Amino acid sequence: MPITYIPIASQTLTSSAGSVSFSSIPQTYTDLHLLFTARDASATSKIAFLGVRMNSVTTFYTRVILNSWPGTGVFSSASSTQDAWNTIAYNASDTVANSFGVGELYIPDYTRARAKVASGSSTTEDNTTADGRFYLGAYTQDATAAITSLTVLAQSSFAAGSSFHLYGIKNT
Amino acid sequence: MALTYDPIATTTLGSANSTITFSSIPGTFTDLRLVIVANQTGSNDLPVIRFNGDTGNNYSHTHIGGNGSAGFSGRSSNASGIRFMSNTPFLTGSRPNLTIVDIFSYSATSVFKSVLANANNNDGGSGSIWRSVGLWRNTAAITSVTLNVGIETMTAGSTATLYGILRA
Repeated sequence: MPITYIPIASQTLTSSAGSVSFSSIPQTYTDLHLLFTARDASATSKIAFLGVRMNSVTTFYTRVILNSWPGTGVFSSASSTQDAWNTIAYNASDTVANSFGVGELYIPDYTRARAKVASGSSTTEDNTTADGRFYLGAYTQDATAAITSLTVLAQSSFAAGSSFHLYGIKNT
Repeated sequence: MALTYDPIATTTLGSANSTITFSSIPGTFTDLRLVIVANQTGSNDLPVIRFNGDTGNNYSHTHIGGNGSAGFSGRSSNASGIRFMSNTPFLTGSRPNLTIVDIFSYSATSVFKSVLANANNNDGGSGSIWRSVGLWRNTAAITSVTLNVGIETMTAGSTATLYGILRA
């Protein structure tokens, strides 16, 4: 009986890196699921944002964002001119030591010849008032080519200990 | 070995249709996940999820969302289905809606059924994003799940996949 939820690749950094790449993604699944725990190596007012690029495409990523900032409010924003699926939050180096942001990106039908969509959730948290943030994103990219690679881009650089896991999901 | 995350069925519409139904759902899993990638042909009706063919006013939901300008929240009570995007239809253009619906303890017979829906309705930088909780006030085990867009139709190529998730 085939397994449905399959680990494709994992990367856990032993030193800082500006990006993490998953290449030669098998085309035998239906959906992709990227999970991460990350911390930036730079201090950027408690929060950093990563971006995810498909293949070598650097233009016309779009987003609709819903985010929360405790004590301040809930906000929404949108853009149609990004260079990656971004505004995906994680902890910056000025959060409490050893705290990492966590998040995920779900990409359905990644081999299908149509516009790509994705759903993202990400957070920062370090047990400090007003440092916890929640970001939800609805993403599109009109490139119709199958996704064969994903590149995760740090705001500055991912700190050692940051980990990224890519899973394939089969619908049969 | 039992699978933890098991595809039960997939439907890809070969022609426009107002419903996608998964029936005779085995009761052997713990939770269900429904992954929808869909468009509508028109925007004059709204997508809902119903269980076991129940079209009565036995559903409710609460949502939080964003429309690209502002966050919002709301709810409905005594509705005829779980409106996981409240008053918003699926997209009608080339970019599909992505909605992931988690249905918890679907085969339990002592609880009302709860769902969490993650809906993404981005049409190239405009649109909305939703997170909803829904409730079906019925303790019956769920044996069918229907996605319905009322007087509209989902376009050919729209897909829905139902997965069963098994606990340890």
